[in-house]
Amino acid sequence: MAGMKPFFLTGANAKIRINNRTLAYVTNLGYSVKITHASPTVLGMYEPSSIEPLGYAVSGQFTVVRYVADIKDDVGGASPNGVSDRGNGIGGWGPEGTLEKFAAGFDIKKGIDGRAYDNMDPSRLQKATGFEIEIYQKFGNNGQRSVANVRGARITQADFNIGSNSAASQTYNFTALYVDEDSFRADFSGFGQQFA
Amino acid sequence: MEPNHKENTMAGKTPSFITGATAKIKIGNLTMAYSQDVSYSTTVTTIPIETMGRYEVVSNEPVAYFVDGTLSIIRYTKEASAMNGAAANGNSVEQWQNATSSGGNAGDGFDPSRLIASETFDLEVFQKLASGSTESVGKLRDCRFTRKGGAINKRGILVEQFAFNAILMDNDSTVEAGNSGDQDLQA
Repeated sequence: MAGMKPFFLTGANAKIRINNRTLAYVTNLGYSVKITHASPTVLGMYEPSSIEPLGYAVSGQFTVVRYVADIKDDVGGASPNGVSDRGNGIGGWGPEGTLEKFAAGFDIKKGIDGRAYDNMDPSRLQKATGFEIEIYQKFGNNGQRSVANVRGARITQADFNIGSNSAASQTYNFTALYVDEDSFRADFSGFGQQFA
Repeated sequence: MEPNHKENTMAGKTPSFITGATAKIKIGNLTMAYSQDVSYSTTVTTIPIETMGRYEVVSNEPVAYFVDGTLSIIRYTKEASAMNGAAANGNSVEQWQNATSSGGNAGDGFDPSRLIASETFDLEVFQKLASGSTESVGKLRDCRFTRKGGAINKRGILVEQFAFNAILMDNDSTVEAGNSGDQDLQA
């Protein structure tokens, strides 16, 4: 069995993208799909007569080790690998503004939709849009393949933590509409809606 | 015909292997005289992927890479500067100023007032050759000291031990170790 290469997705070979931008210094990510059910029970039967799906909800969280913008200039010297001049605050997780959005076209795969930071700014919450979180597995040939795609995400909570003997980290909770995986794509269920 | 005694007895050979006597240690491009030993270790942690229905693990997946090591130095003060190889101001860690002034003053790592400005340093191990030149054996990149300790006793000389960690370990027999990370927020 010699000659095996890293095969499974681990924290070391995972790559997280938000709005098609690499989210380095992320330490963990988790998501959960919850499908609520109800079990109709009827007179004359011990067991439920069926298990009925009632709802589909996606939620999750991830943590990022934080550093500030322009840290390379301010600290000086050599910087750790992967540090961006823009810092890694939530304001960097999307297009710069409207002009970039129009220039890139309205293709969500180009990362033009979904300004994650709008979800953190009360003055812009009204126009905040959802964003995508995509999880990739990296390969030795510099290739990558998508494992899962969380669509229509919105930040619901952001917790900042720093303590003695620890680096500052920010944990974000999110809720989303769908989770696709590389084996299937979750799809719209609204067929047969009234007034359609 | 006379046998080739030179070949059979292997006379005429010069030292080939790196030993404590032929080793040269550089920290921040500064030769570490009176270095007594250095050791380093690269650890790759793996997790076993185990599945139901199989006795053996399917694979062992690498999840992390660490480098650390130790070294010790025989200490002397500026009073010993007449010895061969001794520095004028002694050999405390504060004297380990990077010879090229390109970062990595090791002593900063032990001074709380300067820790925030401290920089990593490279530690390189050389073999000294009979020609007077040196050959690099290994290089530990972006080291930081994590511990320092000294011990002296009756019938002993003062030796200081240092522990350090590093980011990458290069070896003269392999390609240069590289980072595996991504640039943040650069699509």
